[in-house]
Amino acid sequence: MQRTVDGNTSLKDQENTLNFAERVAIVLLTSYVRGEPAPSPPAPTPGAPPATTVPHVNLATFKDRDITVVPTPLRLFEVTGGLTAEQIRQRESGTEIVFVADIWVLGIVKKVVGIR
Amino acid sequence: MKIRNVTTNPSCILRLVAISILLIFLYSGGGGVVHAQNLPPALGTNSPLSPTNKQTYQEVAKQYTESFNAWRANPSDSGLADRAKLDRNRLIFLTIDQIDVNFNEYQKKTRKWRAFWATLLDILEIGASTAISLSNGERAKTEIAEALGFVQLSRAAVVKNFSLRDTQILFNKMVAKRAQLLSGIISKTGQQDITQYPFEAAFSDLIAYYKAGTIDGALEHLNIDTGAEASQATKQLVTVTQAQADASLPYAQRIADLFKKAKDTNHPDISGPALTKLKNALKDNFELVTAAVAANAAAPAADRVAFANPVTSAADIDALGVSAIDSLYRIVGRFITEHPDKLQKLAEALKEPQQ
Repeated sequence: MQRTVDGNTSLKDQENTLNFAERVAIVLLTSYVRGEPAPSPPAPTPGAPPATTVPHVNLATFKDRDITVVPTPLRLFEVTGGLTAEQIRQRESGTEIVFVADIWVLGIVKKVVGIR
Repeated sequence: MKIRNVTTNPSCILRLVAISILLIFLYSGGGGVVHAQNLPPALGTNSPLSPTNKQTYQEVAKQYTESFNAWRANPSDSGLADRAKLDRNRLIFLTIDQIDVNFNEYQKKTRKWRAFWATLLDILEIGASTAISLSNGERAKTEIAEALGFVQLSRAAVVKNFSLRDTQILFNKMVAKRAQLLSGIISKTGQQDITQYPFEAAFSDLIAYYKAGTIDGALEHLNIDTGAEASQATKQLVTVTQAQADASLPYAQRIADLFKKAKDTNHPDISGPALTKLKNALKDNFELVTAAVAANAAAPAADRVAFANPVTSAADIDALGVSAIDSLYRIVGRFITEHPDKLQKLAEALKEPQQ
């Protein structure tokens, strides 16, 4: 299953949305990448409301999972401060890295690691 | 005197074929058989007011500079502002005309080059095949067949590396993107004054307009638009609140526990009630179930959960086995990711009754 996630939201909001999807749709996240922004809307005609901001989306790919096994919560962290994704995993006592990718966070591209 | 047998000597055959091809080429003017329209006189480089006339462009550029400077000296003078805007627009449209003329010429040359190359390779292949038929010796046939193989591989390499097959797709993208960008530029020339849209700002739009008519620009937009279209075609997860995310964990744990019991065929005294509980929760949320099933049926095949059972009444749910109920919870779950407010009532129906 593939779904997009609003890249104009915070990292915490995206984390909550992905965890919600995993639990409720009985799936497991396998990858999370940045989608290309949609083309800019055309110039508005006179009197028309101003164009909305360009949407940013991230693309989440899931696989079906066993309905009897609830996955450990997914946690998202920005890779920053000179740390590697592996160092962040160890710091946060995670057991596995689910993804490391440049994704949209509040409309800005950031390097994020997803661990559980 | 020893006379060579032409039909068994591969080098003679190849020489004959090559000379024939060269003669055909020379006759056809090197592949320029496909004629195209010449530029009309009004668009000639020496014609007055022609967009391709360098002097015309220089004059309009000079007029714009003068009117812009005059307006800057008296910014409150609306007449000067209108004059500067008019000259800006003239310069913009002159640039657009030049870009259009260039693009049309580029399109014409590319088409002629594609036709030329395709014709050349066709003739080479036909010539080599004919030479094989005409020759008698085994060695002659083998060597000419090798040459034919070389021509065919070369053709495949040229088509691949020069994107000959994809050129029309790229040109279609160029035309579409140019039209989109031109629409934006024209809109700004009408609505935005000299402070909002000076020529320098227009120039960056004009560069984008020019680039849209190049192969590199078309490839870039093809990738971007394809990616964006793919993203737009995919459903979006509704952003949930912290409370909704927190509520989803006990829900997931509850259905995991119930399904563990429901699938335990060794203990029917446990599996039976668990399955009944799961079914009753769905029946209590029948509207949610029917909406979810309908949405699943309408989804693209790659995004659909396999489920062929009709669900038109509570009795239909009662008739389902544990495997079908598993699928139904997946279908309902996917629907809830787009309508997270629907989770609470389903979760309530699954709870253990208060003792």
